[in-house]
Order: sequence, then structure tokens, then C-alpha cells
Amino acid sequence: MISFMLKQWVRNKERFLLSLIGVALISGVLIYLFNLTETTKGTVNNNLQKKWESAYDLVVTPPGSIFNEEQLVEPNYLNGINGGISYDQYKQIKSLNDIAIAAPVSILGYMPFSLNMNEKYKSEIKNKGIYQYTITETYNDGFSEKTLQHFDSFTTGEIIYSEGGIGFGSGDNGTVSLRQSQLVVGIDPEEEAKLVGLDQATTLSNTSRYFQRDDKASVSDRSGILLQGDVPHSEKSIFEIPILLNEQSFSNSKFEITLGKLALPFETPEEQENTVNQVIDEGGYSYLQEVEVTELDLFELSGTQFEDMVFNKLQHPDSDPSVSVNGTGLTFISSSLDYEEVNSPFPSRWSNSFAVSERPIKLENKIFEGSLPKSGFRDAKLRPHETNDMGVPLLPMVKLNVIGTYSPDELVFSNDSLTELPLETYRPATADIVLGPDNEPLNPPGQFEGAPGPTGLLTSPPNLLTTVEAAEEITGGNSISSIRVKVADIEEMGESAQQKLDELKAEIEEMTGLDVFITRGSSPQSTIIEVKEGGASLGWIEQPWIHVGAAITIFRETSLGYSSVLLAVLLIGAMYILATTYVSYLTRKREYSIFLSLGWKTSMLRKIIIMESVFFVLIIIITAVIVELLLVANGQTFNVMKIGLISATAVVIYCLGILLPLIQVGRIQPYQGIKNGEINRQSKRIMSNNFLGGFVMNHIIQRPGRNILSILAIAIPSTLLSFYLFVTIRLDGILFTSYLGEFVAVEINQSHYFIISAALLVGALTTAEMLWQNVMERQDELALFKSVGWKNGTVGSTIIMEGAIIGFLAGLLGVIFSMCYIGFMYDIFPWDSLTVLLMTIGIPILIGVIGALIPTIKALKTLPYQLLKESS
Amino acid sequence: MSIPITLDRLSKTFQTGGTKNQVLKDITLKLRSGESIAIVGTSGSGKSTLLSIIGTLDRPTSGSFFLGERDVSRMKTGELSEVRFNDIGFIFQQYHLVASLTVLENVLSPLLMRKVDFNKKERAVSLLERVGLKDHLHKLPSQLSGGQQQRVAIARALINHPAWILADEPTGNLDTGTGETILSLLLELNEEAGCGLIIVTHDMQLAKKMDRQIQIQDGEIISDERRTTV
Repeated sequence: MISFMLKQWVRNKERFLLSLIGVALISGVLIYLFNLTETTKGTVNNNLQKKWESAYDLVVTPPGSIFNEEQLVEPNYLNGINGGISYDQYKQIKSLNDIAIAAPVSILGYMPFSLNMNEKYKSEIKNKGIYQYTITETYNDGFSEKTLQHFDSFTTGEIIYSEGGIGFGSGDNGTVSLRQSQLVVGIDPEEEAKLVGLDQATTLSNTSRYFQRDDKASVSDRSGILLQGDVPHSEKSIFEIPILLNEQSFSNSKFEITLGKLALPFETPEEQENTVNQVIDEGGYSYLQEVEVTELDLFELSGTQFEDMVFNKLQHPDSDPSVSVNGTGLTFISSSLDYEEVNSPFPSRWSNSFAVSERPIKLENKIFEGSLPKSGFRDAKLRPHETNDMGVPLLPMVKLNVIGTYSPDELVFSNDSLTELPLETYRPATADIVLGPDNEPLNPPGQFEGAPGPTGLLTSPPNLLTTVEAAEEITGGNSISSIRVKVADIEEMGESAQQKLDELKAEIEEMTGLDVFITRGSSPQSTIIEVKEGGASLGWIEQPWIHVGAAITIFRETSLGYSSVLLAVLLIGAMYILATTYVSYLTRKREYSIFLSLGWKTSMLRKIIIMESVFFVLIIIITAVIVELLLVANGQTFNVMKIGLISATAVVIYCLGILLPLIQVGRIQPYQGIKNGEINRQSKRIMSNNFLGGFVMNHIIQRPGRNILSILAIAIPSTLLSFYLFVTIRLDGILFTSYLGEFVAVEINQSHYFIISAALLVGALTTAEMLWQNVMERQDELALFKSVGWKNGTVGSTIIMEGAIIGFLAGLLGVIFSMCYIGFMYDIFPWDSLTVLLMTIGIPILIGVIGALIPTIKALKTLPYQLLKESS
Repeated sequence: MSIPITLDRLSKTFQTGGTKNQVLKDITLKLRSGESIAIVGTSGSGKSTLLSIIGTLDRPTSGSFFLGERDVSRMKTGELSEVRFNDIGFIFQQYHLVASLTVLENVLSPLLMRKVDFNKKERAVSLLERVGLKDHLHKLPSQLSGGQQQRVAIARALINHPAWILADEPTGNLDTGTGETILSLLLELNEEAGCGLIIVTHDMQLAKKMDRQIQIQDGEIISDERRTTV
């Protein structure tokens, strides 16, 4: 039978060649497609996978504490939350089965430090006179130079006895004191070691080590007596806590210190007395500020230097006696930001936008106001406290027991702010200034800087880490602000991992009543925030907000996109096979009928059809194996899985493709073919046959089945083509609301176009097959027309036009399909996009015409006398 | 190998559109194998339809058709294939050779995927020798004349020792001389092989050479005569 089949092919070379080209194209597309699984699709998924992984999988926070709008979470959220989760809740969560790491964070608040440069100006102050220190701390937030603190103080080295109201100090020894607040945060050392490798990032020396189990807070009462056992929290007053210091400052501020001498006579006791009296009379401090000053010295100290000096002194109290550090009270806590949703100036670029306003910082207790800037974006409050009889706030006194230092650079987490969930605990948040105050785009964008202290829009990470247990001691419970959770065994991104995360989220929420955000699979989404000062806009900053669940959505979309391409290729391939086997069935129908009358069984005919398909499938598999071997020769490993997939797909395509002929062949009557031949003799007409277009249309209508097949074979790739065109031309990345989506879209475009082109070619081939068959069936008719004087041009035009009309109908169908598809995906119906529309219709027409070329040549070869010869 | 054909009140009606056209009306016939029979009639008389029913290419609308003891009119498609393969050899007016197969392959084509108790190729070659085409075994049908093509068709019809050879206007496409040669060949083979021969023709001269002439008009048998041997 095989030799019978082969002989059939050898003697029908043209048709066999056409079949082979089709097989080659289909195997080419399949091999390319499945190589794509290995390479491009692999890359996309690897990238998705990489981005899907985040520093932690879930974050648990007190109810309602994080600002979020439509799954969009502000990235800089941790600082605003001042406790709210109990240690018991933490233990409960930690004990859950699937939890690998549960790392709590206790935001304890800000602790003001004074750095004293002892007797710095001792020699200057020795000279009799009134001196002015001016201390200014500034930083540039990217919009302008901002003053964090600025004050003048006046002093003299002399000892002055006075009733007060003189506005200056006396007996000064030239010591300069600088102040700054530092954030203190509690962590669980074991969990933090697992989460980011904090233990590995800790410097090891005889003065530096990581936390140990016995690093506990020791508590004393107000008089310094050590407290042990169960003591009411109200009696606890002084806490000695273990501290790990950040040795790499993130500070971006700058201190400027000037020493000046006032133009006031202060040499002799008389002059001194007169001046004191004059100052008191004139209004003290405010008068001094107006007095002429001669600058004696000016020096600058960066925030980094400040921190280095403070932390060095904290770690080595006995070093450099010229410097001392004071810092005892945990004083301020920060608040979250008040975002106000506003209309985006460029909604197509940034779908979400908010505004934040700077406002005056007010504290109920004036004593502490000097430690804070005059205005800020976050409210600063005193820590929850009790007051004594005098109304003085009793804030927790803290003694720092510095056990070591750590380097954030050594921590194990990605530094790419676009991929990783911002780990505020260790890394400053960032933002770009993208628009000016009048919404004008800034090119290049500026860099918006976080501020030190509790009131900034972007706050700095903590430099002082202690343990959650110590934090619990200080706060008396509920110190934990958030718990970052890593879930066990979800390495591979996908639906099952997502389901596990969803289940854990529900379980934790149910169990504790806390809020849970799934941060794994969250993509940063570009969001802009208008920064306002005194009601006026300073401009807009762009910040990557966390789009909860974006990566899994994109994963689903990519899978969907890939599946739809695969499905389209399968469909188009199957349709092509259907076309070829159907045409081959039509041509052989007569032969089959003869065989049946010679005693063949229908099953034998089916066997022949199946054998042919098996042969073509084998060709595809062999081609795939050869390509794979070539790849192996180039250093890749032989991929059995890929060959398997290609083979399986080829089998599916051919099974679908031969279905119709297998059914049809059962309907052949042994004598029917002989008597009636193969030509459909029914005549339908929808137009006049007196003009070319009508003539051609009537021909198309007469063979609806096969022409619908041709139309679909072109329409399906056209639909996808139109969709990709739309994405490329119109979307231009705009509708991709997250970085990840944009990236994925750009990444797979090219390969998509390649596959679509191949699919269109297969569509052209299908059309060619069908038109070929039409021409074959009409050979008599064509010969007749020729014998009555039709020109070759007329004959050619009818065939070409048939192809063009089939292409046009396919294009129309493609436009309708793609509009529906785009509308379904993006809620947009781009009827106005001329390029997309023209190309969606134009390209299929071209494909139809290309498909008509070979049949046209065949038709032109028809000789008038053939008609007479055949009927003899 | 004697398998008589029995037709009992056999009718065939074609339905085209709303009109019914009864082509065969209550045909009752008994045909003995070994006989050479001519079915004669004008165009549209129903003679070809009768032949295609006898050849199991078509089914009767009513009545029964026995091939030996077997009721052919009740057979399934697969069984009909077996009947065609084992008992019947067909010869058409248009020869109906498969254009893509050589002369030898055409003769062998009924045996494809079939097991037989003789050497297929030897039999095909000897048959072709018998019909005088020894030198044309590997030619394609298009390279042969009409008479030669019909000889191939005859050889093909005989390949599996059929009980009956059915020929539909076997000489209709041939000139008189060639037609006569073909007919003589068929009659000789009828003698040699001992199989029945049924020829449908409108040529009375030709029919007279057969043992029995059955005349059909408007779907009815109007005469059934045996040749009087002189």
C-alpha cells in the first residue's frame, strides 16, 4: 500500500510538492513555536518568575493601616504604622504550617541624638565677648533646598549672673551641639537572618556581633533600680536594649555651623554689665538676633559624618574624648501620609495619581518642637506617654547597648527597585520628579530625595535595629507594625502557588483579623504624586507603587497570549491539512469510486488517507529531530520533551485535518462518482454574470464550504495580526499599566509577528489549494471559454480576483474578530485606527492574491482543444 | 463457482426534487452463471440501472436480489465490498482505469491489501498476455488506445476469478472493428473461465452473439430470448 501511495505522489508531482511545502511550513512553525517555549517564552517566564519573586510573599499589617486604592499600595508604607499587632498574633502566624519565615517589624519611633563636639571653640570663646552659633541642617529634596533645622544661639565664656531674659548663655566652653533624630526599629533576629541574611551582613569583630538569644532588654524604674519579674508597665521607665547599627549612612543632609562675634562691648566688667542691661532692655534674644555679627568660623558637617561620629561613639564610648553623644528618649512617632486622589495630568501614562501636601508641624508640647522641621508631609507626634504632675511627658528612657554593626550592602536582596518590593527597612525609597508645577514634563527627570526624621514624604530606613522582644518591653505590647511572611515551597510561579498564597491570606485574616497583602506576584506600577507646599504645586513625583497581584495577572495573560498563538497555529494548521486532504479527496473521489466498484472497502480508502497523514506527520517529526540534532551540534542538549510536543501537535493537527475526508469517504457510492463525476452541477447566483466581479462572486458562492475554509484560514492569522498591530501601533506600551506588562509586551512582539507571517503563508497555501481545485474542476469550462475567444488576461483575472475577494472577506472577518478581541481585552474599539484597519484588510487581500498565483498559472495553461479531446 | 443470480420483483425509483421516477418495475429474473447474457434497451430504459444493481453498485428500492443463496439486497456496505471483490468483475464504457497507475498496477489494484490463494503478479501478467497487452505492462493508461484500455479493464475484471463479469456498453466508445474484437475476447473468456457474462448494450447485433437476450423498455422486461443454436 505504501508503494501504491508513493506512486500516486510521484505521478502527481505538482500536488505532492504543494503538500510538501505545506508540511515544511507547518513543521517550521511548530519547531519555531516550541523553540520559543525554550527561549523567548522561557525568557519571559524567567523574567516573570524573577519579578514574581519578592523579598517576602505576604505582609501582615493592622487593619486599615496601609493606604491602598484598587489593589495599588503605596510602597513606603511601613513607617506610618506604629504597632498594632500583638506578639501572640505573631506567634500564631509563625506557627502556621506553610510559613517559612515570619519576620516582624516594630516601629519604635524616633530618638533625638545630640552630637557634642566638646570645647571646639574653647579658644575663640576665651576671648571676652558675646558669640553667636548658627546651626542649620538642610537637604535638597530635588525640588529645592529644604531647611530641617535652623537656630541661632548666643553665648559667652564669662560667667554672668542674671535674673534671666538675657537671651544668651554664659560660662560656655566652646562646645558645639548638633541634633538629629534616628529611627529605632525592632526585628526578630532569627527571622531577619532567614529573610535577608542580616546575620551575614553583620560585621564580626571583638566589638561587633549579631544578636544572641540572651540579648534581652533590661528594665529599670525611674530611679534606676533594675526591675525583674512581673512589673506593671507603668513602672518601667529606663530600658537598656541591644542595638545593631547601620554602618552605611543613607543620610543626605548637611549641617552648617557658623561662629560669629556680636558687635557688643564685653571686655571689661562695666561693659559686660552695661551690655547685659542693654540686651535685657532691648528684648533679649530677639535683640541679639539683630545685632551686627562678625563671622569667625564656618564649618560643614554632612549628615553621613554626623551619623558616623554618633554611631562610632555609641559603639566605642571610650574613644575620642573630644566628642560625646547624648540620646536617651524615644520621642517621636511618625504618621502615614494623607494621599488625596487627584486627576492624572496624563491619564494615558499614569492611570493613578495622588496629591500630598506639606503642612505645619504642630506638637502639643512646645519643648520638642525645636527638634523638628517647621513643616512636613507626615505628622509627628510624641510617643504614647504619661505625664508627671508638672505636665512633663514621661517618655521611655533608652540606653543603647550597641552589640554590633551591619552593612546593608551585604544583605541578600535585589537592589533593583523596579523588581523587588521595596524593603524600606534597609533601603531608602526613591522617586523621580517627572513633571514641573505646571504639569510640564521634565527631561531629564529629577531625583526626589527622602528626608531624615519623621516628617518627610520619603523617610529614611532605620539605622538602629533592636529586637521585637525589646520593643515589646518598651511599648508594653502590640509593638509589631507589620510581619513580612515568606511561604514555604512555592518556588515555581503559577496557579498552584497563587492559590496557596490566597489560602494563607484567608487563613491569617480569619485567624487574627489583621490585613494581609500578597506581595509576591506584585509588580511595581508607575504612579505620580503631586507634591504641594502651602497650597501650591511643586511638581509631580513618579513612584513605583505596588500593584498587588500584577505579576500573576501578567503570567496569566502571557500564558493566555501564548496559548492563543498556539491555538491559532493549531487551527490554521488543521485547516490547511483539512484543505489539502479535502482537495485531494475531491480529486480522487472518482478514483475512489472506481476502487469501490472493484471491491475495495471504504476502510481501505480511509487507510490510505490515514497513511498519507502518518507519512506527513513522520516528515514533521523527522524534520524536528534533524533541527534538534543541528542544535545539539551547536552545543544545546537534545530536548525529547520538545520533540514530543511537536509530534503531539502535528498528530492533533492532522487528526483534525483528515476528519472531514474520513467522513466524506464513507458517503461515496461506488457508481456515483463514475456517473456524476466530481463537479457540483448546482448553480447559485447572487449577482449578474455579465461583469467580472459578479462572475467571480457567483463562483465563490457556488462552493461555499471550501471557500469558507479558505476565508477562515486567512481570517484567523489576520485577527491576531490586527491585534498585534493594535498593540504595537496604538498601545505603544501605554496601556501596560505596570513595568512588567510593558516589558513582557515588548519582549514577545517580534516572535509573534514571525509566527503570524508563517500562519498567513499557510493561509495563502490553503487558498492556493482550494483555487487550484476550483481551476481543475473548471478546466472544461475554462477551455470552453478560451475556445469561444476569452483572452488569457480575462481567465487570469477571474482567478486572481477570486483570491482577492476571498482575502477581502477574510480581512473583513479578521477586523470584526480583532475588534471583539481588543474590546474584550482592553475595553477599546479602535474603529478609528486607520493603519490597523487598512493593514488588517490589505494584508489578507495580498495573501489571497498570492494564493491565487499558482492556480492562475495552471488555468492559463488550459488549452482550448483540451475540452474537445477530453470529451472524445 | 456456479452462482446463479435471482431477482424477485425488483424495483428502483429515483427521486429528483418532488418527482418520482420509477426506473425499474418488478423485474423478476433468474440468471445462471456460465451464461452470456445481453441486456438490451434504448437510452433511459433502465438497463444500466439494472446492471449496477446486479453489480451491487446500487441498491434496489424494493424486491429482492439473491446471489446464490445470499440476499444481496439486505447486505451491509462492507459485505457488498466482499461481494464485488469475490464474485463480480466490472467493465465500464469509459474503461475507468486509474490514470496514475500503470497497466499492471491497474489490473492488480482490486487485490491491494487482500489475501488471495494465487500469485497476484503471475496472474495479472498472464491475464494481460491473454488480452494481448504483454508488451504494455508498465505503460500508463493515457499511453494506450481505447481498445487497449478496455482490454486492461477486462483483465482487471478477471483478476480475482469472478463468477460474473458485468460490462456496461463495453464497446460503446470503440470503433466497430475494435468493438468486435473486444466482444469476442469477452466471449472467449466467458467460455474459458466458466463465469457468467452480462453485457448491457443498445446494439442488437452485438446482443445476438450472446446466449440470452433480455430486452428492457421503460423499466420492464419485454422479452427474454435464448439464442437458437444452429
